[in-house]
Amino acid sequence: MIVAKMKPLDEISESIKNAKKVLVAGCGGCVTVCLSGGQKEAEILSHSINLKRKLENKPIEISSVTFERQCDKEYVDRFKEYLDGVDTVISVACGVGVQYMSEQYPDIIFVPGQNTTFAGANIEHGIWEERCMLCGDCILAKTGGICPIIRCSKSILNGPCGGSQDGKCEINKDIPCAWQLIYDRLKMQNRLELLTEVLPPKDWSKSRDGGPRKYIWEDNYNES
Amino acid sequence: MNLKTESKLEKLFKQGHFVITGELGPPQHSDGSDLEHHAAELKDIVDAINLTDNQTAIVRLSSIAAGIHVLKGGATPIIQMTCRDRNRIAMQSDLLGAYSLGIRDILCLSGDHQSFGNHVQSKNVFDIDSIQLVSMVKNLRDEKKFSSGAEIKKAEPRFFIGAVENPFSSDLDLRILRLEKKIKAGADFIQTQAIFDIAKFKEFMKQVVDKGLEQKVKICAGILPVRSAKALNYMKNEVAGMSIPDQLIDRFEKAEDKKSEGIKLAIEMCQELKEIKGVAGIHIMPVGWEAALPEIINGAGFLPRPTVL
Amino acid sequence: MKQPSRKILGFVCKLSNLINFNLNSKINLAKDINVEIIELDCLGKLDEILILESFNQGADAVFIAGCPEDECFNINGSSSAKKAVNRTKKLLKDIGFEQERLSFYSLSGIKGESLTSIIYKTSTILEKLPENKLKNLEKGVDK
Repeated sequence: MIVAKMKPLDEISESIKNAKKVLVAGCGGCVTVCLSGGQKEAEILSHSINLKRKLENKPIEISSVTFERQCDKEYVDRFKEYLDGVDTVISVACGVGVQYMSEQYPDIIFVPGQNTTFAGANIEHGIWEERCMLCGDCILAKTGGICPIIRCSKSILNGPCGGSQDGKCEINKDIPCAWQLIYDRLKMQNRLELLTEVLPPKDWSKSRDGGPRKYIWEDNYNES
Repeated sequence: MNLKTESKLEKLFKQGHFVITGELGPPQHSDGSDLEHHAAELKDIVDAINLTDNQTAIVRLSSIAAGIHVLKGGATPIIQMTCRDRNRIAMQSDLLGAYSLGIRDILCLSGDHQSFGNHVQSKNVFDIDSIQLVSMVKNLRDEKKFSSGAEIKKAEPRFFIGAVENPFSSDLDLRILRLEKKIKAGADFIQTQAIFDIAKFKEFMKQVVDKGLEQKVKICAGILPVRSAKALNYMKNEVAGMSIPDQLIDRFEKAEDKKSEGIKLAIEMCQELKEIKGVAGIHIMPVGWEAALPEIINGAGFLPRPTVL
Repeated sequence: MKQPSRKILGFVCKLSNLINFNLNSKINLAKDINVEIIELDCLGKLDEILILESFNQGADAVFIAGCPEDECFNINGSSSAKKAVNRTKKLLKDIGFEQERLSFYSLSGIKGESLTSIIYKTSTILEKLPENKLKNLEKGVDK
């Protein structure tokens, strides 16, 4: 899932400083799961900005509403009736939602309420960690199910580097060395021979380096 | 002699000499005259000199340019190339350029992460890793092909290829596995991270020799002369990949003349390392203490340096 | 009668012993302090929105009081409320309110005087703070 973190209130306030009527658009998808941009968080943001502006003697009309997702047109359409007279929307969805909503309602100013950070998993209550870089060319079969592109700070495919010490990454002792993890896993599974192969340079053209990407389902069934 | 390259280092190894290399950190400004000056002083003291590549991710005069200054000073440079700052296009371009200007030896490494340096907000590249870099440099030389598969029509760069190994990671098996991979990828010589724990290094070399790896690649033991307990403590706590026994720190704390203790220790280490089976040379990294090199190398009995036939 | 100029709002757990306390008979309140106690079925119901709305409606100070965390009848109510208070304190700072206006009290259910001390403490804090500006503003459009 996509993990995002709410921007500081100051920054959000600054981005709507000239707004008169604002809607905070919450999202019931990933950001609800990571407790940052769901219905509750959207309401809290709405109340907070309301209070802040009142205290600053610049009252603002602000409310919030949340639907299932902001990355599918059928849900984005539901926001329409709440946009009457609204000049600015603070979307607390991920960056995808902010942009997609903005495409459907181009006359309205959209600002992000969150910093979208990574694709990750909920490893324990309240803690999420990055797990996937969305590189478009998954090699997990060769690395025992642990991705070195994202979990190794240097995206090394033939690791570890010389900075790996006591199973930790050189940049931060809280980060496990991905290659130590891979080695331990493959050793446990008796598959260390996977590591003797020198993996060739990655094809980054399948990642964002090749330009913005598109997926057309029908292409799976068309002659290429 | 069946040589792959024009490298002086390759010749020395081939002739069976115990190779001694040094290292210079290029300056954080654009005046290369010190480099030329040091190179002139060191040309008969060491066989070749490493020029680091933005070490610790701090911006310095580039390794290749520094290598040219060293050539001007009359010594042999070993340029270093990390994977942190350049993609494969820039790397190959730089390799062509370096070779065209007379550089013959290269050390391939991953590079310290930029969070260690003075430009922490920069994007890191890591298009390829150090092992893929070794392969790439080898293919330029032996297959006469670029990384894309395109042919190099003439004057392919023919580098003598080095890689780094850290014998002190806790998992020895993993280190040996990686060394084997580097050899497979085409490494001609290895320089190790600075050794302080000789016992641990001996364990590593034993495994190396058991597998016959020292026959396939020339291994140079790295040492870093120090002159204070503070330096040792700093490395122990702040620098990645170091293994420093406490009794060494003790020794420095007790010593009266720290500088001469440092020289003494370096000489002892050189002598001990030379005797370990599989060690084909020593690489001395005198971080901030280049002046110590002549005394150490002389004291360890490594002078005069051989001339290449 | 003089209009009260300081308003203290207290959220108290219905299950704690504080509820039986009769405000008027036991405390000598200064005439310009108005205290209102709201009973909650469980302190776990408390969230940021409830607290923020209290300040929006003009409260000068808000306190939340309930049993100690390990004595909570509903097990997590007290601890949940404490966490909500901590989160809201941070929000108050970003919004522009003084964090001291909000407090959490974890009280032993035995002594009735505890409520007195909360109110005295709160009014002492309020002496050093300006009145909540929002009290005198027109009510905005809040949904």
